[in-house]
Amino acid sequence: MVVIKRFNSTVSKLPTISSTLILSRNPIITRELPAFEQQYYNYQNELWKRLMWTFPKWYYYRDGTLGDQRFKELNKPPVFNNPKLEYTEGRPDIKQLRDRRFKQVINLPKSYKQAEDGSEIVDEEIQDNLSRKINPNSRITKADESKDLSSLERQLSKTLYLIINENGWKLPTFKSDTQTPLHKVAEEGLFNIGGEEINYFNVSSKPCHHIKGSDQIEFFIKSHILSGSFKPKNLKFLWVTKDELSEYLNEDYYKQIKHLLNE
Amino acid sequence: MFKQFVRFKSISNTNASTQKVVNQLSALSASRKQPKLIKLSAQDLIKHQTIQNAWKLYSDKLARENRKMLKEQYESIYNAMEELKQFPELFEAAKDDVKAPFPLEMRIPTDFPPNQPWIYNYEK
Amino acid sequence: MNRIRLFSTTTSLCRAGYSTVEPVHHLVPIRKSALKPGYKELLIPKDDIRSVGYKPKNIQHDRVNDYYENQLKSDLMLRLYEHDSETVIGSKLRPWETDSPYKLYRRARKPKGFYRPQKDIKPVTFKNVPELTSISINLYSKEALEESWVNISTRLQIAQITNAKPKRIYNKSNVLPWKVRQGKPCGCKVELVEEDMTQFLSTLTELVLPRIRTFKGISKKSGDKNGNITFGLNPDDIKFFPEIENFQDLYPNLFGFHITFKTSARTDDQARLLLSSLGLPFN
Repeated sequence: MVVIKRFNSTVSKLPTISSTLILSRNPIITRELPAFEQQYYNYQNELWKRLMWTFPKWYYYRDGTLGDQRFKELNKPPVFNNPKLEYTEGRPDIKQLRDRRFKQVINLPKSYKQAEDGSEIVDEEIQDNLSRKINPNSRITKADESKDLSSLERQLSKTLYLIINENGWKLPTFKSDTQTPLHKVAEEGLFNIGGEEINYFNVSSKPCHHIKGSDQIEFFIKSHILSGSFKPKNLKFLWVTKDELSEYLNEDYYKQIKHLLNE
Repeated sequence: MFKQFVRFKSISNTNASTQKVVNQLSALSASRKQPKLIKLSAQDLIKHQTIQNAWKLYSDKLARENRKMLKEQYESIYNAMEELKQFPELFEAAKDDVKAPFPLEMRIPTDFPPNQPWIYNYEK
Repeated sequence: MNRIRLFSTTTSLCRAGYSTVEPVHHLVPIRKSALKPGYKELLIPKDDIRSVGYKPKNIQHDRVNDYYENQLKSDLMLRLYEHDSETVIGSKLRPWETDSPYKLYRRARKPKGFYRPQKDIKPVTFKNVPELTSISINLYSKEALEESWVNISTRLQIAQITNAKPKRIYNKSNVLPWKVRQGKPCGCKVELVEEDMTQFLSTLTELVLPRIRTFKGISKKSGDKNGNITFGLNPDDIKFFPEIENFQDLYPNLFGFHITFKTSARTDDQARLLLSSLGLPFN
């Protein structure tokens, strides 16, 4: 049996187009290093310290100064090479107050007052002082602890992507005509649903990807949110990582856009 | 007249500023500052080489994956632009100004977050 | 005369007294002293741990490089992509016509508008996204011409800032009014790659440049048309480097220097885009 296809019109109709915004929040802190990478860096770092030149103490702490005195209190000189003695762990090879066989460990005077056990004595007056002890902030934020998926402060070490709930979770998609540039459509659409208080950077006016349906084409526009917040009215939204995105999006759809997304 | 023969200079009569330059030179130079070579036993050498080989394999794998992803992204852009040719006005609009710089707010990630991880109050 | 051939030789022994073939002398002088076994360890490649010059690489996680590889590369590729673009051939040396025998062995003409043949500008693909290849620091000091000890301070300053040992530079020509004499040391230079480069770049963009009040950004006119951007720092700006800042009494005289960002970008616009993405402002 032969099937003959008949076309209704000879002029092919242009497909409808839509512009999808991949709005991402770039990582704020460095990624979590895998154990192997961390171990390798530690190993190389120890080799590097072992092969370092001797610290020119005489240059930074000149003899007879107060700094020199404090330096000497913190750093005991290495074991002296006495020719009359036998050393069980090899003969010391001292030059410039360093045993050349080992890495040099230097304790520097602290810029803040220290208690006996090493903890800092907190002085109210010097809280804004540059000489205070620096305590790095935690890499895990409150949003991580409360599992607030709509917060921009979660998963600081990963890229977050905006998804909204319109009859199911999806990336924000906007209908486009054939006149307005794609990135303008995406920008207007974003401001319409999320308010204008978003500082965002459109990487390019070129689409980075497209998905072709039977009578419609979806173009993807890539951009990063820099500051401000996405505050929609009556619209559910989430900021999710690449891994989490696979749970929310349609499986086929996710496979098609997977290579555009960063960890 | 006998000239007195001086074998050593007892005290160097360098002034403070000269001494500063001498110190600078000694801080810069490698003399008396270099450690001993690392003498590895045959077993340790093999261990070291294994570590380096493992790192090479690992970093090569990462680089290959990155490159593959970048290639896929490139092909995506190419296909999307080919598709966009159907709409001449949109195609014309999809051109970038190379001179427009990246914003300075895009920061290189740090090891620890700032006091305020995200700035919420932004006004146009 | 013995005409009988021996078992050990193939030629008869009645050869003439001398050879007509010129003896071969070594034209390349061979320094046999350099081949002595004591120097053997100098031949080990420097990335081998047994080598004298071994310096461990990858001593810590390189966050700048990581950011470039994972984030910026794809953004830059998207931004610099041009559809249906073709290689722009740079102007090359022009051969002479063949109409006259006098033109036969003439040297080729200079390219149009340039002294040297220009490189081709290839379209940006996933293979050639612009990247920062090295940072070159060049310090020229007039004071070092008058007082040679000044060049010690310049080198120490650069070594402290960059974690690399600088090389001395020497005057190439004689200019008497400027006290420039050929072969006189006049500053130092250093080329930073890989970790030292990214470390220097992040120090510059995060600690130094934001604190220089007069700094408005790198000039947009800077560039050598080949994707290398240069700018300079004044002696006053150097004190913001953390290595210098806390020991200002040790560095009584500071020296400004030029910093050149060498990139694999083919045009200056691309190079500027790359540097702006790495956090360097332009005005």
